[in-house]
Amino acid sequence: MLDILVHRVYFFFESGIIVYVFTINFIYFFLTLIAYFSLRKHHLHFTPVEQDALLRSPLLPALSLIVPAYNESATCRESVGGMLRLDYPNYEVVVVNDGSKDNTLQVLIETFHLYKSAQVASGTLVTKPVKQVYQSADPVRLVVIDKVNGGKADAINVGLNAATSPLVMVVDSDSLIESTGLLDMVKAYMEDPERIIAVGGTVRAVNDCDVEHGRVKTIRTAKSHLANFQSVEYLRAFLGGRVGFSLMNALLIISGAFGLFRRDAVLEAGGFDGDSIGEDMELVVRMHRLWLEKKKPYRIAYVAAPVCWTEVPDSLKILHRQRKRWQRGTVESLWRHREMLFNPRYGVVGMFAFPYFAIFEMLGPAVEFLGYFLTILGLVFRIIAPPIAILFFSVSVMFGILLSTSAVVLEEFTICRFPSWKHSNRLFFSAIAENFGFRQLLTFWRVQGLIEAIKGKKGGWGAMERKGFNVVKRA
Amino acid sequence: LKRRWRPHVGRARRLAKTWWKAFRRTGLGRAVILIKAAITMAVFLYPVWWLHINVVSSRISEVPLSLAVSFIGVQIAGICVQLLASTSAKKVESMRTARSERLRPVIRGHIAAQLTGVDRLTELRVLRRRAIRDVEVCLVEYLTAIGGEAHGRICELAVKLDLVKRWSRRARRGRRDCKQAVEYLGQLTPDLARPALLPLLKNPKMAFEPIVYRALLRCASSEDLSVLFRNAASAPLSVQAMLAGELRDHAAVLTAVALPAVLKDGTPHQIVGALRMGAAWRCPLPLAVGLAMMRNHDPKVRAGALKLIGFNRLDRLTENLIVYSLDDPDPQVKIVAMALAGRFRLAAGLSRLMSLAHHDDGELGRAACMTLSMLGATGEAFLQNELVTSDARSAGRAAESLARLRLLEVA
Repeated sequence: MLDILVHRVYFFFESGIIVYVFTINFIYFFLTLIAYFSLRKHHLHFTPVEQDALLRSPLLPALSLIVPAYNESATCRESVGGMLRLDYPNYEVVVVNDGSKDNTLQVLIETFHLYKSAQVASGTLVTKPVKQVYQSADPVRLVVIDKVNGGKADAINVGLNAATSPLVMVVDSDSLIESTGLLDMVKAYMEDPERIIAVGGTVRAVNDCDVEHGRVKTIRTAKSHLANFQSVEYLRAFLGGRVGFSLMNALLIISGAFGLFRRDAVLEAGGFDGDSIGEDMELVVRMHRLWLEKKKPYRIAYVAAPVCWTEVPDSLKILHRQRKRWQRGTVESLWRHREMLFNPRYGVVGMFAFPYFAIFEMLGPAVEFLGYFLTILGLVFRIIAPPIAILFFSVSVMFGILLSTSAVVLEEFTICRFPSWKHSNRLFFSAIAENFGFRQLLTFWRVQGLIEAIKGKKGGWGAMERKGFNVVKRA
Repeated sequence: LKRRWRPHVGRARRLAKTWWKAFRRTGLGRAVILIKAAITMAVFLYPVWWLHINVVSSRISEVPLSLAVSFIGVQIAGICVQLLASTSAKKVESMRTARSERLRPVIRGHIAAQLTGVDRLTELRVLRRRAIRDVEVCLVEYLTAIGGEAHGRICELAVKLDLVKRWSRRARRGRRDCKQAVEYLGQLTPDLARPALLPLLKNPKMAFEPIVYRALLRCASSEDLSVLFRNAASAPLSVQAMLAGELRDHAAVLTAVALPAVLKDGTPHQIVGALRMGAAWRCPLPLAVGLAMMRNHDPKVRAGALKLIGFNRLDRLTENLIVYSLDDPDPQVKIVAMALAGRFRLAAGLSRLMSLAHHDDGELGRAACMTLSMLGATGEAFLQNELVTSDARSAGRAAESLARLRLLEVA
């Protein structure tokens, strides 16, 4: 009797997990298909002639680039240098040094010839005290604000206070923006300036790409498989998921590494939340919530063309820390706005995007992990036959491969930044190989992150040890 | 009864038309993408069912297992198709490039010979059938490089090779390559380009493409310019930004005729667009028109009009209008008025600015402090006083404005 009961309970859970895995994969696949058709339609909307006309236009809005920095001495010289050389006529760079323990500030002062300024960064957002404001003696609009350590969100808020433009772009200090990145993002905003309150761009791995004068010169895949696995993962997340969600105006994440916001909208929403770990997601969810509650028309968009290149972790230890942190951020943001879950008041966001994130992104790793655990348990106690276990595992893995290769194909047929066969083949190999071990490892780490979030663990900066960019030096 | 219902029917029809237009603009494209994705999904899933029924179920009796095996088969096929598509796309591209490199010099030679009077039409027609894109590219190269009488001859050649018809057709369809077609059409002589390009302004897919305006500007008559301006005023800001520079050469004509016409009978969206373009050209708005605009209920119209009024020479009326606008209920208008008060150093606005410096809206307070710092000794004294007497927030704003003033002085 007990034996039958155990079997029934076991199969109930196992079937549930199979249905879950199929549902999540079909949703991913559907989002990837949406992304394909959407990108094919919209991607080639910007010819070089139009780009030139826009660059010369007096109607182009001014923009402030906010760069929060913490212990970034290895990369800040190249990245800030690159940010000062972008193709945009009217912008300023505001670097906020959040009490770095290394010599980030010193590197900035020496490289960009900064002098102490009398300027005060006052504004509507309450932040940790500002120690000193520096400005560049060079003919560039660079402001460096040195402040007491308060976390990334607090640093961005200081930047928001100091910004003088109607548009602000938040960029990580270890990132390199493509020369036309600002223009592409602003153009997306200008398509509908009344409604668009935030625009997200694509983030990609810069590991082993050649960097010259703060710009990515030669794009190539990384030598390390770990970095390539992450490249595929980024492609899947950005080109697949976000395009689809953006089409439905239900985008819940704009990467903190590369996001454009209307300054007045961020101030209206109360700025970035200093207590939050996933401050980027939390702000976007909060903006959705506030605008839907106020019944104001709005759009949070994603554009695939502008790319921000960032260094992805090259070691398992740092990746582990990063993924746990991301998972904690997701859980925290969703928990904070849990009233939105299946709430018709919040439209597509409340009825589709939020439940999707809660059920599949937040709980997904736990369910997947449970699936592996139950399969092993079933095999040990001979509840299921090995061929059946292998068969269902194969279906799941194969779906993963299909999604990853779809993301790579999506990149090739729309944006196409890997011109050589060698690199795209390597990416295809990574798309297949990441499903054997890497994906399972990520699942495990995300479960750890979920547990830490439930325990209520807090975190400051998600700093990682930098290798620095692969800088090309001219003879 | 008919007469009684007629207005309602008309209203319903207009409403339906507006909804349909809005849906076409935003929802239709989205719906088409969703339908395409759903169809592709069905195309992917149907073979699973087919394999399960016709092949696998006869060997594996259990339905879930049979379905799983069929699904794996389709997944493997899907992955293979993707790899094949990626590889073949690159191969085709490299082959096409190699062929173009081989053929283009030949095509260029034939076109050059044709220009000198040698009849190479037959050879070019053969090449058109074999490699139409290469013929197009070479012909357009000549069109852009050569002017005068020879340009006319190349246009004739384009007509004879049926390329003009092809480009018009491609431009009308509004697909991926439509922009290229419009660009090609824009290189033709006005008598050929204008009839092909003007209808595109009524084509919903192409009406707001900057490339159409650029092409049309090369061949537009003065009446066309007004139509272009009105259309551009209804376009999104991104398009207006691209066109502001293009239309600047005709700013004198447009501000004299087209701008007042749009301000007179345009929709609020058009008026805002027109004012925005006027501001880009720094075109002063006559005070009589400006006053009427300042009575508009839409704050965007008021703010836009005030910006243009700021390009007038400062007189008593303009000064009064700017100072009066500091009391406008809308913050956008207030900020424009403050910017103008700072630029013209309007001492008359001092008292209003002083009260605005304590405004609850932090941004307005900040802007007011900035303006006060530009108003000379009185404004500066007020800000100095704020540093010691006011609350922390106002003192912070004052300190920031004074610091910026010092920086400007140093600069």
